[in-house]
Parts: sequence; structure tokens; C-alpha cells
Amino acid sequence: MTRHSQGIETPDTFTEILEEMNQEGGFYRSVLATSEGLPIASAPEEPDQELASAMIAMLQKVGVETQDHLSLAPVDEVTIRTEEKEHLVCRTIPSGKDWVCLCALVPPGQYYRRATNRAVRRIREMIEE
Amino acid sequence: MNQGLHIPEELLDRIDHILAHLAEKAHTDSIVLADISGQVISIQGVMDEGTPAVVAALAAGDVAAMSELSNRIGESDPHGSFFHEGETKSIYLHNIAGSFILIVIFRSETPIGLVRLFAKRAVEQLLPVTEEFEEIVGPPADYAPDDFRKGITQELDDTFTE
Repeated sequence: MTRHSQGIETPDTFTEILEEMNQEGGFYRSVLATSEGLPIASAPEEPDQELASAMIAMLQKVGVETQDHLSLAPVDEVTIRTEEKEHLVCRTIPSGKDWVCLCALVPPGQYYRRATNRAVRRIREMIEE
Repeated sequence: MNQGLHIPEELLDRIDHILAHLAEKAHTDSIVLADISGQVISIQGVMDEGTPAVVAALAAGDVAAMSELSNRIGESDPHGSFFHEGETKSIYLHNIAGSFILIVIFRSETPIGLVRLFAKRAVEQLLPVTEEFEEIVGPPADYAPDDFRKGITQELDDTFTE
């Protein structure tokens, strides 16, 4: 739990998972959002609406449409690599009939799969419990 | 809280359990489950006496207006959700199968995605329960008693003349 300036405690267990993932993987920042692009949590904690919207747009266009057109299994990960070798990694996590999306900005040369795997598992547990 | 409705205890317990879980996971201030006419079925969290009934009645009006608005713009399934973002508190309304309304009140610092995520999960769990509810109690039009209508009209009159 985080105590805000107004003295109000807000839920940030998802935020804690993201913080730990960022630390483990050395990520710049990460965000968890609904399939509509609404932020659920982010780390650092300032809501990152732009990153959330960008990743959902990418997942919808590249992931979900490709899956539909090619009759592939559900998309697990979509990654973009920049010229400077940074990665934008998006993982989908089922939630009932819907899904949520975990996205991380990864610096050049960093491995990300293990850290995101662990976070995906914990987020799924938290949603299902 | 359910004004004049005779709901089996076991059904109410299941509804309460789902709402309590939603309140815990999304850290909401209060949650009201009402039927589409605005009769309160269950409440989680603290509200002043009389407030849930007024909130439910106003939400029912909002949902009816939004359903009609959706129809007018050609939306085939008007049973969606919408939310009002306030400065300190926000409200999320979800129309459950055109028969019930889930009203979630939460602080504005709470991420809307968090509320949306767990509210959708709650609605998935509430759907079979509300179907059962309708089988037992009947559709809202059949059981909304006159004294409820008079009572809520009085509550609303009092609210708007304060």
C-alpha cells in the first residue's frame, strides 16, 4: 500500500509487482492496462496513459488481428525493437472472457523474458484469487 | 436494504460475497447492486441512510438514458457500462443484462482500469446469480411495488428540494 499526499492509501499490489519486475529486469518503466487501454497500475507510479494506449493499439493491430487472420494460438507476446536496441515488450494475460496487457520498456542488452514471465504469473494469480 | 423484496438468504449471501470481493480487490468506497428500476438489492461499504436508494434510483435513470442514447445511435447492445470521473470520487455503472445495475463508487486516485478489471469479473460472476434471482423473484416490472415507487419519489423529491 502507498500513502499518498492526501493521506489516502490506494491499492498498489499490482504496482509492487511491476516495481519488482522493473528492478529484476532493469526496465525503464512498465504499465499494466485493460484491453481497452485503461491503466490498472504503472511503475514508476505516475499513470502512463500514453504507454498504455500505445501498447494496446499495437497489440490489437499486430497481435490480435494476426492471430485471427492466420488462425494462430492466442498471442502471448509482441515486441518492438528500436534502432537503438531498446525493446517495447507487451504480454497478454487472460482475465475471464477478456485480457489485460503488461508492457515494459527494456533498455538495450537486457533480458526480459524471465522477469516478465514471473510478473505475468503473479498478475494472473492476483486476478484469479 | 432490499425494499420489500423477498430474496432467498442464500442468493443474497452469494451476491454479497461477489460484491465484497470486488470491494476488496478494487479498493472501492461503496458498491450498490440494484435492479433496473432502481430497487436496492445489496450494498457494500458505508453510505448515509437513504443515500443508497437515491443513488440506485438516479443510476437507474442514467442507465435508462444511456441505453436509449445507445439505441438512437444504432448500438445493437445497449447493455454496456459507463463512468463519471469526478474530482475526488468517481462512479462506474454497469448494466447487467438489462435487468440489474452495478454501481461502484471509488476515489479518483484509484486507477479506472483497476475498477473496470474487477467490475467486469464481478459482472461475469453476477450474471448467473441475477438470472437465478429473476427466476425466483420475477422481472423488475412484476415485483416493483407501488410503495417502492412512492417511497423513491419521495426520497428524490427530498433530495432535490434540500
